Amino acid sequence: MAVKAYLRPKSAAEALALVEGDERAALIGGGAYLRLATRGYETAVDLCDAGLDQVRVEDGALRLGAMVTYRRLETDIVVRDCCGGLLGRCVENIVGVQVRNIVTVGGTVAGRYAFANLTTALLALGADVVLERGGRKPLEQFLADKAPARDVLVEVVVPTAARRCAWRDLTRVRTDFAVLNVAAVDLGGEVRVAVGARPGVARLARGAMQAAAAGDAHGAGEAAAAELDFGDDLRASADYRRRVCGTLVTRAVEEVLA
Amino acid sequence: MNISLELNGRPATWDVEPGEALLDALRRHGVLSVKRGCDTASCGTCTVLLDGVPVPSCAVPAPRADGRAVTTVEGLPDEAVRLGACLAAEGADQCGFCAPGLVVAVVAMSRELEDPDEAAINHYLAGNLCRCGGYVSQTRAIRRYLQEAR
Repeated sequence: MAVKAYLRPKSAAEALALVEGDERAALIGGGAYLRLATRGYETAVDLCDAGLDQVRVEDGALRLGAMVTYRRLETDIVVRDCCGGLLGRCVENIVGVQVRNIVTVGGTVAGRYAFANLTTALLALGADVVLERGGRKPLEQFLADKAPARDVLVEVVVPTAARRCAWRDLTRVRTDFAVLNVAAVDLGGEVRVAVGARPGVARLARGAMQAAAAGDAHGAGEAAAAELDFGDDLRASADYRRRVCGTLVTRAVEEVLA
Repeated sequence: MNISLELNGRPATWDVEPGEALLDALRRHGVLSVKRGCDTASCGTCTVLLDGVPVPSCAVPAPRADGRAVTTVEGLPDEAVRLGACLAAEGADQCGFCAPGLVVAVVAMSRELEDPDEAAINHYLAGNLCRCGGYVSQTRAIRRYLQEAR
């Protein structure tokens, strides 16, 4: 990546001041995709010293700092004990340990990457994001924002009320991005179902959630396949994804209802 | 810009480009064991330890290493000799291009996991590709190394 200056601010507020209103400044989370960046920037603002690598449970929620790595989600005992270990499970096969040591929660969520397993799991868990300027808002709302203001994602807040969590994904080879990914979470009275890598960014399947709440796993799969949009890319066709979606949603909902 | 780091236990001060990858800075400063493979954080051959944690140096900005410790295979001479002997004994080394990154990753694994079984080894090292296809013999060699290290 071509940059003229590289800064490591000491706080999210300091980082925000550097990037707000400056399209020539780039925020750097994990940095895994820097090598692929084709445009140049005036300033790179690296969050590695901003104190955003904290994991804590507070007021019935797991709070994950933006710079918490995927590997922490796999190995941190606090994260493993929350949400049936769903957060670690959904990332544990992504590329290799080295990559999971640099890829971050915040970089994934803020990047709104369509293929990201983690975003699908967080959406199903009913997570919120906390932005330095924009404050706290539901992840679903954050992902739907078509013209987001420049901001710094500080942390992700995950409710720990989940009773059962299920994860399903299909990959062409184990370490690759998913052809489709599905998370189902029983929050007690509500079953949330999210589907990502369609290849669009993760979305809740509300029809599937209604069917799941009524105890109908097969109906949930059919509803998700019918209500979501699917597309073609080098990994799979839209039609293939639609069929896979029905099956994976049914299996995930069966697991949380069992 | 200048960065100060500890390279294989010794202090170093380097002039790096702000957008330069740690891989490029290392090779430019003569640390040629760190190989450029895929250059997209997929193959593991550029693995180094950053404060003891294995990372793909092609995806770590060099300025992020400022004030931190970087370890390459040159900084793990005893482990490299012992694992290298196991790789040779099991016929696991062909072209050798992936070996430095593999050694660094295996050392990280041996420090992080207690007595890993074959499934755990394969999972931990899934990010270290060998295009000669020596995975079965590599796994044999790594198990041998871990047994001998106990």
